[in-house]
Amino acid sequence: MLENNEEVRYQVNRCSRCGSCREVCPVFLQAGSEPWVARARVQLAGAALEGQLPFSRRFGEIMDACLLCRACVAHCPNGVRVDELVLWARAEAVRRKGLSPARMVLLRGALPSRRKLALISRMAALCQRASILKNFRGMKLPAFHTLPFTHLYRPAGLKKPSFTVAYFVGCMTQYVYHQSGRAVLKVLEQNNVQVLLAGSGCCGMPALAAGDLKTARLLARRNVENFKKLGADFVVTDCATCGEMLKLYGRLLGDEEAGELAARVQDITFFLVHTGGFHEGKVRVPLVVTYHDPCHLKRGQGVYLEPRKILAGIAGLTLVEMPRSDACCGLAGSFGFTHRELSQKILRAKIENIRATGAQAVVTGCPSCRLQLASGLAGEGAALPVFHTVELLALSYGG
Amino acid sequence: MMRNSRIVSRLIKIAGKEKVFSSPEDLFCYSYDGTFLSVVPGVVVRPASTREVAAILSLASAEGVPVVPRGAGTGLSGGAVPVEGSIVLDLTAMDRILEIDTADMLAVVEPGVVTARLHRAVEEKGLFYPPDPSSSSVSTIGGNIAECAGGPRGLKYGVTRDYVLGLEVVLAGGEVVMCGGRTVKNSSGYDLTGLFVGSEGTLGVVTRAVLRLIPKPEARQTLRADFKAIEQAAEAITAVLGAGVVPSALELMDDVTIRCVENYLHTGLPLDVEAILLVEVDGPESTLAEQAGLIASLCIEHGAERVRVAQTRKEEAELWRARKAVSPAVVQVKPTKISEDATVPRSQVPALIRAIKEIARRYRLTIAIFGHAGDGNLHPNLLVDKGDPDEMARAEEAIKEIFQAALSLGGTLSGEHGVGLLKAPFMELEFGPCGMAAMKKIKESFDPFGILNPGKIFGRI
Repeated sequence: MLENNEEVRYQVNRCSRCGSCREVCPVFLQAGSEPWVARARVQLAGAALEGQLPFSRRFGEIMDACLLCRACVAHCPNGVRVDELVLWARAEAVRRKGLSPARMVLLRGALPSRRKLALISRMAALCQRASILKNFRGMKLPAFHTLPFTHLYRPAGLKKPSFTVAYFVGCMTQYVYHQSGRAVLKVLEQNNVQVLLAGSGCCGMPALAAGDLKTARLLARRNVENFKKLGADFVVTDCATCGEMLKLYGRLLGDEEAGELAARVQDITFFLVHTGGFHEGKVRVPLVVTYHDPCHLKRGQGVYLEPRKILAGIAGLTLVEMPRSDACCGLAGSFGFTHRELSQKILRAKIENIRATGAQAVVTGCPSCRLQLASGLAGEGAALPVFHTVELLALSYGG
Repeated sequence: MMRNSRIVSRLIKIAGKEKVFSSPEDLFCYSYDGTFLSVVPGVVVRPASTREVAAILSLASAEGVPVVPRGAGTGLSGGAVPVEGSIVLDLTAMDRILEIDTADMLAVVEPGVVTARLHRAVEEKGLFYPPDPSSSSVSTIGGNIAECAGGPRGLKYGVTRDYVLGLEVVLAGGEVVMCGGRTVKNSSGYDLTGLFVGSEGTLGVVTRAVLRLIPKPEARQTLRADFKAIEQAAEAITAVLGAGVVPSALELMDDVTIRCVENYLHTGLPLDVEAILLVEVDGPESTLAEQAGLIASLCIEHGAERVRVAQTRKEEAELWRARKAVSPAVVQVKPTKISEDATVPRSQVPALIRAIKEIARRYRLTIAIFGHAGDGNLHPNLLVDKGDPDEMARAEEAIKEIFQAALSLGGTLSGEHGVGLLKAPFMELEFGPCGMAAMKKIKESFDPFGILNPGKIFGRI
């Protein structure tokens, strides 16, 4: 989060315009011309900051065509925070020109309301039962649930737990991937960790990514209050995106309490490996799998060894690495829908890498990536299943 | 913005709507290259074929509009920085590798092919395209040819010029000429191929290149030697080459660079030495240990504090890590780095380094010196802050003096970056008025209306 113009200027000035990002920017690699590369976004942000260019529609289009995957940031010899510059540009555009009507409805109307989100999910589920809405804008959608995860599942009460954690159930687990949430509960309970359901709404990332700081802060504040009430040792989540967002709360809200909470947020795999500890399962899982590193987990939180460590401990399971396992899958939240064609091209490269491994299943740590990968894998060839890391661990626990 | 929207619509007719950009935002994205310069063009077009390039140039000629060809825009002399109101010719859409001929050992490529992609493609077939500018992972062959790019392998294998056998070039009026060909030897007529290489888009636009390939070296080995004094390192280099060993890379880092890198990486680089040499030899596996041993003993003989020969791939990567970290390391000191490439005869390397250090002291600047010591191609990097006008003014003066020092030692303004805009004001120092007049005559005969990348090499008119 760039706080003021000085910080924006500092990041822009760090860019030596060497163009190294042309090697790794997934959008540029598909689109091919300069405006779609990180370097251009940095320079454009600088020009807008200094008043050389207006926050025009075209400016918005170019800034919107960024996945925030941070491949450029990791590759940049000068470590320019391109993602933060893009976020700044988007927020500044919203501050000056307001939200589009569609975003107004989605971000300010639906996103903050758990009731509305649940209703949308329920309607989607009912439509799907009537064989409508199996696809959306060419993407194969997963099955929605009529009831949210937190309505259906309650964690068990443990007698002498080693830790108490608040489990932040992200929207995707809440309404779509219940299996992932069930695995989190099972694995934590089996390792003597008391789970409290945070019962929170959206983490706020969709709002932050769209430049809607107001909604992002509203949601962040609400989640902070919720966690405070629960008083757990740690906050864990099975969503890479939520995890990264929760960790940003300190800077987003600019207060100590939020910062302290942010410091106690851990991805479920990180918690298992480093904090809570976990025992290996007794049941063999005879699968050849490959692992996709979500941007928000590897570059966002530095978590990439942990899931592999967990997978390595599962008897019968073989991990075959794909080339560029940390290349973005191309979904990036709403990008997959607003930039359909680009997103699909980026996805195709990923799917080719997955198929080349000969794996029987794909494992990842982010439900958004899962949605995109599953849609891509349903296309041609055998439809490989996609799992969250903890689901396979839960499977090895049997029962 | 293009004043003449008629030209924009003509370009759309030639290349298609989706290949022509004219919004202020798109134009801004084509206003820069790898330098700190920036000029917004009039329109950008991404041609897909020689035919389209020819049509664009003939239009530009008829209308008297300047044309600025461009590859990845990673150049360090301003060669691809547009002229106001110009047509930028983004050649990256022409990116086919048309042929890799293992019998004739050559590749035929379009200008937009990324250098590293060509490296990978030919190496898969056991062949080797040696030029390896440090931007090779993104730079294009067209840009490499235009600036006559080099790289660490220059000492043993030469530069881009040495690997261009033939070219297809579109001239200012849209005429397409073929020069050179598919033979290693060619003494037929004027060497137009040689003339176009390094001409920075001022004489014509390269649309196809025939590149010479050589067999891929079987293996390589790296060693590092630390020297208390720059002179010792220079003597060691002379001794190594004198003994008949030509390393495939011979990189030097000076004390300022070493300090920057050590502060950044914390890998235990020695802080009490003036120079680190990184030496790589390549060739048949069986010969490498002997060559590396000989180099190590010659370094020690000439006063090296210590020598480390990499025994494994991992150790090799560790040795190169320090050199590869130079760019990120130096910008920790100051946000802006101005990378120069003054080049002198090998024997004058210590003298140039001394001169640069003296210039740095006088202008109160931090200058990190590193580069390809084996071929005398140094990269003094001035570490400055773009936002500090006083420092930028001092840097400008210092650069002038560095050029003068290089020339007075029998060197040249540029070893591998080209002249572009940044070095144009100093060209007369190197070539004198008669030399410049001769070049100008060549320029005028190829480009009578001055539409091809005007201002580059000769300075802004």
